[in-house]
Amino acid sequence: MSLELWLRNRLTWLMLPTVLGNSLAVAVAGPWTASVEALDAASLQVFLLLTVGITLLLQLTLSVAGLNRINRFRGLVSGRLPLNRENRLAALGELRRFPARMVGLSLGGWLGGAALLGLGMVALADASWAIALRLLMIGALFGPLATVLVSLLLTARAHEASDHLAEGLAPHDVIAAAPGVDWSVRGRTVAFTVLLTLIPVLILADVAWVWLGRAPAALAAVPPELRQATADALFQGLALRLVGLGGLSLVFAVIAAAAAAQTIAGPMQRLAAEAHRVAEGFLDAPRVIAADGEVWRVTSVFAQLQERLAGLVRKVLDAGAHVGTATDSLQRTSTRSEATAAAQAAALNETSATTEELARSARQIAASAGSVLELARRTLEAAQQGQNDAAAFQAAVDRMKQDNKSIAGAVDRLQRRVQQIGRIVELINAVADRSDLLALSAELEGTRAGDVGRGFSLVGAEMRRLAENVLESTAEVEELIAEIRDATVRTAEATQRGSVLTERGTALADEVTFSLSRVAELALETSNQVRTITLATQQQQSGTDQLAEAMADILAGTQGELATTHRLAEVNQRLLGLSSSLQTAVGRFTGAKRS
Amino acid sequence: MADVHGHLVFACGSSLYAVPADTASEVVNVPTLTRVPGAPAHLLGVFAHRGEVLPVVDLTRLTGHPIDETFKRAVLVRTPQGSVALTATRVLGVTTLEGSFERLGDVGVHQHLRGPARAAAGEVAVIDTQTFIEFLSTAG
Amino acid sequence: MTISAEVIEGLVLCRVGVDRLAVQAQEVTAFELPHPGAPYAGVGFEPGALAPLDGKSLRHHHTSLVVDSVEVHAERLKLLAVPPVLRLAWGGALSGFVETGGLLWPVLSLERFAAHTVRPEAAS
Repeated sequence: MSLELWLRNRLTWLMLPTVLGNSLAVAVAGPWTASVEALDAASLQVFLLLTVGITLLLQLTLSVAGLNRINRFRGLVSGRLPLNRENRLAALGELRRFPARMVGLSLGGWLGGAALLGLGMVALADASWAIALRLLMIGALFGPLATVLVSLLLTARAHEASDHLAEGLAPHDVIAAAPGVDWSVRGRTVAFTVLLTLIPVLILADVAWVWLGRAPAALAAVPPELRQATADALFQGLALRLVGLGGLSLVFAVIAAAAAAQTIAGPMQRLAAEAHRVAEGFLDAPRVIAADGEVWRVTSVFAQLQERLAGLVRKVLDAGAHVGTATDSLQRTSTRSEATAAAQAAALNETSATTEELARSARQIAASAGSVLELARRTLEAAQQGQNDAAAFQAAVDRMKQDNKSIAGAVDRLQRRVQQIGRIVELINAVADRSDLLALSAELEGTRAGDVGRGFSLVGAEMRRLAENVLESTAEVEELIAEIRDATVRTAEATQRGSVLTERGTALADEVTFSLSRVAELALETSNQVRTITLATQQQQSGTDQLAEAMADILAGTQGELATTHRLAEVNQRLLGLSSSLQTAVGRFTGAKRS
Repeated sequence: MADVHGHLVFACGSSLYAVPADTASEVVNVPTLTRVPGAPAHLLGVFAHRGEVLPVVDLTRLTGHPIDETFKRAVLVRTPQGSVALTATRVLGVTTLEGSFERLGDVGVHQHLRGPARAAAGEVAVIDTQTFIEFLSTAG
Repeated sequence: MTISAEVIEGLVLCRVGVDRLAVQAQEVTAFELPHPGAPYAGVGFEPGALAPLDGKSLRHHHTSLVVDSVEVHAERLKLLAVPPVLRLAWGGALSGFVETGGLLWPVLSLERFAAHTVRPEAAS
């Protein structure tokens, strides 16, 4: 049954013992008082009306005051407040204090009600103040009885409600929020016993006192022959009343005792059930069993014990689980380690073989490096020789270039001279041509002058021959000049080509020189590198030998390691078994297992 | 007939020609010519010489021989009928000629050429300068 | 030396292809754009020559002569005589030569040229 369902209409249930207990007490006390005080009819009517009215008023007041003391509980019952931890703890505190509060209110209500009744009788029924005093005394006698009964019933209900509210809450929280009322069982029992015996005795004594006090007057009022019978009747009446009242007291005492016992037995029964649950291994949800006094001490300690035990078992179980996991992991690691060790051994075998191979290779490299060194030396020599040759070639080309330049200069000068000669020859030609024309004219003139001019003509003819000779010669000179021009042009072209070729030769020689110097550099570098390689190879060779030895040692070590790993795996296996047993053992406390 | 005064012998193209020395006034280098509109083809043009306009006659064109324009000089011929310059590829000089001086033809310019006369350089056609210039003037 | 030298004043110097000629300015009645059918002076130098499109036409009354370009020359110049061998050239239309600017210019009489053009047989 869920807490919400249980809480439905629990206010009435909780308040019922108070109303019923007090109503019962009033129902007993009222008639009895009426009969003892020998009220007349009118006074009796007023008394009854006042009793009922005041009782109703007080019950109402008591209920309202009581309910005001348990606001949180009321909220939870009505659903106004959420059923969270805080509200539940606060309600628990209220419930624990509730019976004690109600005891105070109830006692106050009885005394107040009796006083009010007395005043009402004096005012309304012209009763004497003695009656008011008696009514107060009767209230003071019945009040504690009713209150004890109410208290016991209320406590039982409050405990039940507390047990429900505390379900699922941490015991230490419950104990802190709602400590039990520290009444000692013995003190309470003694107090109850005293109350339950003393008050009936006082009441009976009062009855007897009142009855016997009235007897002389009653006997005096009857004739003497009837006095014996009247006395008998009186005695019988008194006896009847005493027996009735005694029986009533007994019943009341029995009910109160039962209720008182229930306040101890109830918690003890529940405690026994809880202990049984623990014995069965259910450690989950330890319950705080509500009780008071020494019982409370037991139940609270038990709840705390249960809680601690649950925590402990949980820790053990966790530890077991961890051990299991760790052992599992260890097992796997061990297996892996075994595999790794095997692989390592294989790899080491391989490495060892490779190392030997490496050593062989190193020896071969050393031999090859020697050859390369020799080759590099020869290359260097050849390159240096080539460089010298290239330098000589370069010098020759330079000289050739210089010569070419001189030739070009000479050819240029020659061309200019030839041009000058050409111009001179042109001039000579012009002069010769002119001379020729003049000579012709002279010849013609001479001819026209007849014999006189014959000599003149001859001179003219001679001049013409000379001029023609000159023209022929200049024609030859022109031819020669043309030849020289052709030759110089060809020479110029040749020197031009030569200069281009020498330029190219220079460039080639430069390239060859550069290439050879590069070759020489490379050869030098190569021989240096080879020397380094040789040195490194020698170092490597010794290193490799050492490595091979080391490898053999490691191999041996690895074999031993492999055996160790085997043993470790066996140990792990055993550990795994142990861990499993531990988990089974702790797992018996099923309630402690985490869901 | 005896050659009293001598002749000026010159070549024009492949042929040798001669003019009487007394009609050949001078030999000149031919300058740039000015062409004359409506003139016959053998009249190459004119040039001014000593304040006179001289027409230049190409004998190769006139005689119908292969045209030769390599001439540099011209022989100036002056007659009462007029003056012309005859193109000459070479002027050989004044010489006396031997041989006959008969007309070399009956048509065109050939009726004004005489021969065959002989000079040291070879056979020479002698130009009858007076009739030659008259012929040129009428031929237009 | 049959015609004595005389002086001439006012000439129109004409270019005809690479050649040249001159006419007396008094003879030119008008300069015109050439019209189809007008005779071209170039034909006198090269038979079959064609007149340029931008040529000038020298008008003399009813006849005209087309040349390439014209330039008027106002100085007094000596008119050199026509050699006898050229007297019949172009139907005797040559009236002489002038020398100017280092060049020799044949001077054409438009009057006689017109007569020659009207009677072409006279030109042969």
